[in-house]
Amino acid sequence: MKQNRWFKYIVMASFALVLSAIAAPTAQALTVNGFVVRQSCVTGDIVQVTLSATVQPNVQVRYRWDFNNDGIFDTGLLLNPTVTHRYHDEVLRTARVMAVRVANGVRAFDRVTFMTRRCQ
Amino acid sequence: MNHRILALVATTTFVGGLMVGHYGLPRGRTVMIPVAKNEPARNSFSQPRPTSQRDRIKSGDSLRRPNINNTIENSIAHPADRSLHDEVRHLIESADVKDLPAALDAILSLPNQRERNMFISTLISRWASNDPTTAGQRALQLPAGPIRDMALQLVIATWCEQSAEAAYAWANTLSAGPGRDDALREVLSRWSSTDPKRAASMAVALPSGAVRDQAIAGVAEQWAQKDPRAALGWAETLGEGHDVAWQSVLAAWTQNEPAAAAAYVAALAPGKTKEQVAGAIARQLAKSDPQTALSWIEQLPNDGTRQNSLEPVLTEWSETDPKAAAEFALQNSSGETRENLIAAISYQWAQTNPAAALAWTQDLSDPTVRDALLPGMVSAAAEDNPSATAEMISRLSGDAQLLATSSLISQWAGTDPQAASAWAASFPQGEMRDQLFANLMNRWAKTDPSSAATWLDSLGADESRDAAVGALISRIASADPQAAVQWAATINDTAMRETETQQAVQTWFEVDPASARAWLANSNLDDEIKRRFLTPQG
Repeated sequence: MKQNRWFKYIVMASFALVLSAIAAPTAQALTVNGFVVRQSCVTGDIVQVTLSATVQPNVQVRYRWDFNNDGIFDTGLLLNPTVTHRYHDEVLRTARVMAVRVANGVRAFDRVTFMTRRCQ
Repeated sequence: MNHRILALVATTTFVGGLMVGHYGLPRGRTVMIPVAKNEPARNSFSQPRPTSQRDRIKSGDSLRRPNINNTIENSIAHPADRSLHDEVRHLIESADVKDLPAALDAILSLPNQRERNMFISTLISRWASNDPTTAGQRALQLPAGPIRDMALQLVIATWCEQSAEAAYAWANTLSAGPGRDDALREVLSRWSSTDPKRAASMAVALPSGAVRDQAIAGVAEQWAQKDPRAALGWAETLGEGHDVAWQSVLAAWTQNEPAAAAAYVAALAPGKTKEQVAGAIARQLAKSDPQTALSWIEQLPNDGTRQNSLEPVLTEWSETDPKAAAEFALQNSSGETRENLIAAISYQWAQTNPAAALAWTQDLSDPTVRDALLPGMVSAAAEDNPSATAEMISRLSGDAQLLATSSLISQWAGTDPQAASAWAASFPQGEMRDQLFANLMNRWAKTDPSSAATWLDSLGADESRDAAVGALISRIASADPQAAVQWAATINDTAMRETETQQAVQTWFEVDPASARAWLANSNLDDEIKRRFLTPQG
C-alpha cells in the first residue's frame, strides 16, 4: 500500500516533468506571419507585389522567400523582411516565407496566398 | 508674615511645577535615555530625560543591555526623533562588546530600513574593531541579502585595516557556501587596494570556478586603478583566469587613461580576442558616458574592431537616447553591421516610445531602411498595446503607413481578430482597406475560419469584402473546396467572382475529383465552367 503511494508520487512527478519539457519549447517558439503590403501594375499584365513579414517574439531573424511556393527559395537570408516580386496579373499565387533566428538557427514558416490584381 | 509669604511662594511653585509636569511634558512616552558621564545638561522639553533610576548610568558604569534595547525600542516608537537616533549611535559606540549581539537583534527588528542600516553599520564597525571573528560569524548568520552583504563588508573592511592576512585566513576557515565566497571576494578586493601583488597571488590560488574568476577580476580592477601596467603584466602571466584579469585591467585602465588603453588595444593582433576586448571596454565606457565611449572607439584602428565596438556602445546609448544612437548608427556604420545596429535600436525604441520611433522611421530618407525597420517596430510596439499602435499608425502617411498598417493587421488578427477587424473596417474604402481585409482574413482564417466566415457574413457587398472572401477561399480551398466554391459565388465583382470560382473548382478537382465532378454537374454555375472541367479534354 505504502509502495503504491510512492509509485503514485513518482508517476505524478514524472508527468509534471514531461509537461514542463513540453511547455518549455512552446514558450520559446518562433512564429512568422507573411502578408501582402501592396500590388501595383507595372506594364500590361505584370503586377509588382510587395510582401513583408513579422515574427513573434520580436527577435533578430533573417528572412527567405519562396515566391511561388515551389520549394525553392528565391532570395538569400535577408534582414529586411519587405521584398517585391513580379507576377502575372489575375493569378492565384502562394508565397512562402521562412524566418531563421540568428541566435540559434530556429526556423519558422508561413504561407500567404493571394490573387494578383487585374491590370488591363 | 515673612513665613506666610515664603509658604505661599513655595506652595505656588510646587503647584506650578505639578502643572508644568502634568501638561508641559509629552505624555505616553517612556523616556529611558541613560546619562553618560560629563554629558551636558539638556532641555527637558526637547531631549527626553531618564525617568527611571534603573536606566541611569553612574560615572564609571558600563552600558547595560536594557539601556541599548530600550533606547532602540524608543527609537522605533518615535522614528522622527533624531535625538533618539543620536542616542542609539552613542550607546553603540560606547557599549560593552558583550552587549552588542543583543543590540544587533533589536536593531534588526527596526521597521525603517534606513535607520536599521545606519545602526547596523555603526554596530558592526564597532564590533569588528574589537572582535572581528565573532562579528564576522554573526554577519554570516544574517539572512542572505543586502543587510548581510553590508555587514560582511563592514567586518572585512574594518578587519583588513588591521590585518588583511588575518581576515583572509578567517574567510578560508568558513564552511563552503555563499558566505565563504562572499567573504573571500570581499577580503581580496580590500586587500588588493593595499597590497595588490599579495592579493593577486591569493586570488589565483583559489580553486577554479566563479569565485576565483570574480576574485581575480576584483583584484585586477583594483590593481589597475593604481598601476595599470603592473596589473597588465600580472594578467599576462596568468593561464587560467587570463581573460577575466586582462579585461578587468583594461576596463579600469580605459576609465583612467583611455588614450593609452586604446593604443594598447590597437597594437593587439587582429582577431576575435581583440574585438572582444575592445567591445567589452567600449560597453563599460558607454555605461557612464556614450560620447566618451565613441571618442575612445575613434582611436581604434578602422578595421573590424571599430565596427564591432559600436554595437555595445549604441546598445547602451539607445537606452537613454535612442534617436541619437540610431542616427549615429545610420551615419557611421555600413553594410550588415549598420542593418543590425539600426534594427536592434529601433525595436527597443519602439517598445519604450513607439510614437517617437515610428515618426522617426517615417522620416527616413532611405525607403529601403524604412521598409526593413517598420514591420519589426510595429510588431514590437503592438506586443503591449495594439490599439495605441493603431492610433500612432494613423499619424503616418504614404508608403510608411501602408506597410505599418499591413504589419499591424497581420499581427493583431492573430491575437484579437475582432478588434483588428473593427480597426480595418474603420478605414475609408480604397486599396489600403482592401489589402487590410485580405491580410486580416488570411491570418484569421488560419486559426479560426468559422469566426472569420461569420464576420464576412456581416459585411455589405464591396471591394474590401471581395478581397477578404478571396483570402478566405485561398485558406480553405484545399480543406473544404465545396465551401470555397460557395464563398466564391458571393463575390460582388463579376470578373473576380469568375476567377475565384474557377480557382476554387480547380483546387477541388485536384484534391477530390469525384466529388468535384458530381457537384459541378448538378450546380448552377456557368456552362462555360462546366464545359471546361467536365469535358474530357477540359
